[in-house]
Amino acid sequence: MNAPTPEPRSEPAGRAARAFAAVAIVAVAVWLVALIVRAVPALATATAAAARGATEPAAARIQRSSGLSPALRAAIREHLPADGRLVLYSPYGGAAFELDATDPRGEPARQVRTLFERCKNLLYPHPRDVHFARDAAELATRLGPRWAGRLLAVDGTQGGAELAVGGRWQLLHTEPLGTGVLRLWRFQEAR
Amino acid sequence: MNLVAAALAPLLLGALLLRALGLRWRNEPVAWPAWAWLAGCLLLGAAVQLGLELRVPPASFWTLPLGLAVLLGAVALRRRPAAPGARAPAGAGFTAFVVAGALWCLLFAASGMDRPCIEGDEGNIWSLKAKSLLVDWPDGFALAQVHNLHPDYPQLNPLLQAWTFALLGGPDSVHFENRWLVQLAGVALFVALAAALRRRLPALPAAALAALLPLSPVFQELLRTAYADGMVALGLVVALDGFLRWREHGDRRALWLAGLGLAFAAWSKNETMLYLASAAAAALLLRAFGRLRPTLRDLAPLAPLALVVANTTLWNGRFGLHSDLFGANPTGKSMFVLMAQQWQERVPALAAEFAAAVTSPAQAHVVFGLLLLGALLRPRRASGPPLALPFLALFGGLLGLHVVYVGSFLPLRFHLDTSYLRVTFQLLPAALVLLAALLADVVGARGARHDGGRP
Repeated sequence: MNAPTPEPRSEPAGRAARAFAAVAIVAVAVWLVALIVRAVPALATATAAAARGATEPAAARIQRSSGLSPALRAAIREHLPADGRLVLYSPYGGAAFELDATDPRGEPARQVRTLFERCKNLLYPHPRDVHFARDAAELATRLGPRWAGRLLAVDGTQGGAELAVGGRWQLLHTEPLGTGVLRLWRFQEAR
Repeated sequence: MNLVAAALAPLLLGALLLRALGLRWRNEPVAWPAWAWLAGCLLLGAAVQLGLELRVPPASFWTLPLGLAVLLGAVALRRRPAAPGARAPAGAGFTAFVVAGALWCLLFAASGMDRPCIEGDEGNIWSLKAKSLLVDWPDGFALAQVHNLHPDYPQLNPLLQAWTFALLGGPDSVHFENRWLVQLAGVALFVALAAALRRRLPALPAAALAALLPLSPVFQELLRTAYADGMVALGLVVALDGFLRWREHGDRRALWLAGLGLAFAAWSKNETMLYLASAAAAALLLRAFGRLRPTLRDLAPLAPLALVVANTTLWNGRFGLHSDLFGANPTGKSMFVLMAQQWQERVPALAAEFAAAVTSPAQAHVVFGLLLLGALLRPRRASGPPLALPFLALFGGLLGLHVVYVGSFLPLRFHLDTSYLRVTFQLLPAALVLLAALLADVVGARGARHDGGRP
């Protein structure tokens, strides 16, 4: 490569070259029109999002897009010791179908994983130890006597039933989420 | 004020490095800001890593680029000015198009301020790594990657985010602005691409091809987030543009620019190693046919790339971070084992996925199809100098990406839905540059010569 060769720009373009150029020009024109049509709503969405980003307080934007209110975040941080563990729990299963986005049976598992990711990344580094559980058995594996008083669960169970997996729990905070509710529990004592 | 300083630092460092290399703004006014951004982010990343190693507290990170700027400034001021009259005429209309396109990109980047950087790969991989560089460095860094599916990914993106976190108040209070330097790499990608296309085509066709990028939904999503795929694309476009400029005019400054582009891409995401392997294989093939005779001096600009690869290897070894492709995944199997088990089912599915992407009017991936068609209809031009090497490297890289999906441990549909268009997009802007080079002798023949300026 020590003697760069000039690009063969001066060669006369043949029929194939002209045909290819024609195809390319038509294809690019067609795709540009199609993309412009699709870009109009995208532009409107982006403009609205940018406007919200410039005007809304950060806490409001975080709550709207993640479902995690400042009150819930504050409650977790208030009650969780530095070496504590946080578990995002939903008892509705779906783990086996989670990775198939078209399978509604996986939706509960996808929801708890999403909430886990949001919570973990938003709250890091306090706490550092965050897990999720998609059914009671999975939650039980996260518990144990050494976690008594040092483990909190964000519980997506709907209805008024108390959390009773693996031992005794204390309700710390209740958070409305859409039409449902999230409850924050402290693991008090292993059974 | 701190946000302005955070964004100005890479631009200043990049400007000084380009000047030290003899690349002046007046030679290539359109591309220059994008090149400066790339070069500056590389230097800033190095400065932040050095600061971490020296245990500089995050509150004092602002001092890190200063020493580097003084050193570079001393070198840059001693550098001879570029030859007069070497300005590349982009044209006022085209410059206005680039400015409008950059503003469009900035709007999509600003739309990211609506959602915190806590979901998907940008939250789980890139931003989390950046935060742990500041709050768990160095002892807890490896442990903090426990939920990171790709802990072995390289560090430039997290280092840039760590810089912004450090200047703006830390991971606990900053959840949006930490993306900015990464997002601006997306803006730089559009600018660098537009300049590379304009160099080879008249203004109208160059603008038409360049417009495919900001209209692409994948690119719009990359602008909004802190994913590293746009950074890879930027590095590859600058590398390809620099390589072609060098082959056209023998200007060694362009070859150094190409080297910086490769280093930037390699420090951004692991797919670059695949592209480099493809390029190396292509170079060996061309050399075997006597079509390529690199000298040691030609290879010197690869020094930054070698440094980046060595740095990433040492980093991952130091923290015990492994790739899921080589067995660090729930199956415990390497991608080669999985390939042998899955190829019969996955190869047809991947061929169908590629065909769907290339023909989809909702994406700009049609460029790959056009490039394939161009290679078939214009084999002499595609296989001749200087296009043969990048053509082979790009198609080898594209094929390699598909092979990785064959050996993925994840369910194929899930893996494709969450990454296929985004990952293949890494090669799309470079494919646009190659398409322009392939069309230049036909589309550019009737217009005025537009590539007179050296870099």
